Amino acid sequence: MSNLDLLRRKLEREKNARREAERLLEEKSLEVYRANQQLLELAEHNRTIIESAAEGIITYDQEAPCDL
Amino acid sequence: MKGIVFTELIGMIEATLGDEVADRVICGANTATDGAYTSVGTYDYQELISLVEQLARETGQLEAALVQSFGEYLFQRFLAMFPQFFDGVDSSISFLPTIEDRVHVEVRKLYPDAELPTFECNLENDGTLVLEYQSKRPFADLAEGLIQASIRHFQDDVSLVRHNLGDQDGTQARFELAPTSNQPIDSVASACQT
Repeated sequence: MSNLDLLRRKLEREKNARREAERLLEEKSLEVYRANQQLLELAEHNRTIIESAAEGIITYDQEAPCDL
Repeated sequence: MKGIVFTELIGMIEATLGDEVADRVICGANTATDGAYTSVGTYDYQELISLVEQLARETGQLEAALVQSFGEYLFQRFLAMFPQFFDGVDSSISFLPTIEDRVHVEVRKLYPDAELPTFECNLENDGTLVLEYQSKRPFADLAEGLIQASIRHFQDDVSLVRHNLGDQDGTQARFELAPTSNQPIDSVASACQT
């Protein structure tokens, strides 16, 4: 077994490892993107609830006998 | 510029001209990264220009022709690496409009800061697809190579005409894909309705 063969195989392993790391990073990036989208949707949903709740309180205030 | 363009350029040089030429090109280009690229990184596009300049010196070919050849190679690589983008398309006229609407949408999910070129497309009444390339970088030659390879891949009966626009510096160009045979316009009518 020559030194050159050894280095070639080592190089090939490193190259494959790099490609696998790149693939993994893209997979994780997509997961982060999707999780973030879900959080944004949830935040929007919560904002709607909070705004509606505020309107509810206003309605309550208007009906409250506060000018007595 | 996205790292995949760099890793693929070096891959092309290694595959077609050998490791020694690739090594000379990388050493000669004398770039900040020394040719160590990953597909998920982002690098200065000037490095790509330096690499192409070296490749031109090495091969005696014109830079524009080399970049076009690289575009053709890149199309084949995209076909192999991202087959999902070629599902449900059977011609350049149906495929090219999806670059903006499907491909770049996916790229932005992974790389929100990516500064991608735009490919604005319009389907004329006579069935000609007009595609306007605009970029911050001068790679209309790369776009042309990709389009040429797409035409060849789908075996389209179209003629391709390119008009350089703006400052004529390769950052802006209009590509016209005109059908050369009398094919029914219906078959391509849905291509650009997005």
